[in-house]
Amino acid sequence: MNCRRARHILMQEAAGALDEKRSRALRGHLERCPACAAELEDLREAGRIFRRARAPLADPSSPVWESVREQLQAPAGRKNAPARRPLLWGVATSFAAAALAIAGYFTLGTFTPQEGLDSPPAALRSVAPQEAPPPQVRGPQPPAQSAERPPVTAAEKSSFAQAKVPAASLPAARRSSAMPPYRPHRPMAGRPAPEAPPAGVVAWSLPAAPVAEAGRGGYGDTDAAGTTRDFHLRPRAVSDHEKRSKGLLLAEPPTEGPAAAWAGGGEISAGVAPAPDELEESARALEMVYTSPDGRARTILDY
Amino acid sequence: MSPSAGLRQPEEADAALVHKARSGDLNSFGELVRRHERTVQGIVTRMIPSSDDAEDVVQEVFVSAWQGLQRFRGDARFSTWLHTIAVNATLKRIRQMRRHGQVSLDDPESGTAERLAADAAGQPFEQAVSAEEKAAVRRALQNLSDNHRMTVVLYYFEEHPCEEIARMMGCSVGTVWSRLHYACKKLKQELRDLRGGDGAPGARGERSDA
Repeated sequence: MNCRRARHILMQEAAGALDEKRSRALRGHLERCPACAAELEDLREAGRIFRRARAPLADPSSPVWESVREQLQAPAGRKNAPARRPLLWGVATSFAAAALAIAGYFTLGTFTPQEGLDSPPAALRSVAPQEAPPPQVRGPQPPAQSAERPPVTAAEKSSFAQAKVPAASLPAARRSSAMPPYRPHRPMAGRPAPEAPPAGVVAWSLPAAPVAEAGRGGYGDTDAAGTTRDFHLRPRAVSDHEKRSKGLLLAEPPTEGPAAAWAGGGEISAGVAPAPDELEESARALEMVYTSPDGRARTILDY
Repeated sequence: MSPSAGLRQPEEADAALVHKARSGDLNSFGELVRRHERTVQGIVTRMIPSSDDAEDVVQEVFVSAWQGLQRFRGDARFSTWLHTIAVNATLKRIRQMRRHGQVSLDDPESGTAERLAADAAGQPFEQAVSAEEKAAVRRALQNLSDNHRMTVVLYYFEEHPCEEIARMMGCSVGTVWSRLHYACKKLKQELRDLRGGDGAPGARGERSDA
């Protein structure tokens, strides 16, 4: 173990949180490295001081529940009951629809965002492998195959079909609509820069539930060397101007639930950073991640 | 412990109360508030200097929790979910206060660090904190970013495990350890400075580590 690796885990050792194997390896290094040993001692002492410096809390001037109840019972309308329609869910839905729009745009070139928002392009469904489970469309149902939707051209269908990845080649977890337990969602340092999803990736799935449960805003990514990096989904309001400029309709998801789920190659997932204190706002920061069948993840929408 | 035992795990009791509250039972939600108000206050008041603002945020956290209760699916503990709301609300309020030029968090006369490191009217501590150490803690906390300071509050003052802090703050566990490492080094650096640089060798170099 060298100093760089040792310092990554010194704090855990100082807090007694390191597993025995790594602790033993670290101790081996510390015997040879007085600088790291001194730093470990510094961390231990600082931790002790921080703990001792903790001040007791003052009592609130009024009982919390009394004040909260007054607010909840005030005739303010929306505070009087738990929200019937989970906003996070709704926002995830709207962004999922936006992802569909983007996927459609990247893939077929001629889909407009509005089309994508409403429903999966018919072409995507028509070429789904027969042996795959039927597409689950739980969320925004197409507004009844509206007559305004232009038909998908033969060229579009062709370009899609050539590049399609059979669902059967994917691990089961990728074919299901369940959210994988962990997903790196931003290229790590040293990896190639983000790029648009390759043409032809048209079948994808969304998690059955919002990626980020309330309170969970990001995921870590641990590389082969064991280095953990973190990524953030940051809550941010999106202005009307921004929505218009991006050609996305984000304000009102058509229905509840995840937008859609298809078996096929690659996945697009949506993550919404919860911002319970910003319930008034109709849209917030979101990250869409495209994961290709080979497992590489790229952020395709992040704002 | 048997699930059927009278003394249930706090998580189970929370889950039962959440279930009732989701159907609109305000009393059950009130019980949840009472069960968790102390920890929410801990997070908020240790970060926000003004007690009025802090109380306001505490109430806001519970109101938000009530409004968002349908979103809570029970995958995580209710306390973790609630604390996440508290962390977000607190950081947001601090940003607003800073943006609007309200009380500066860096102002030692009114800042959070003063409260964090206060002797609280002579309350007994497990071990006495020297004036020098208190000053160092105060200065270290003043110089930390909001996220670092929040991490210190959650870990050392509120004693949450790192895994839970990572969930609350939306980062990896590795980042939590890294922030704690940085905060501890900052504190040691402040102590060295206050002691007249007696630990000088390598001291400057430590500041560069993020």
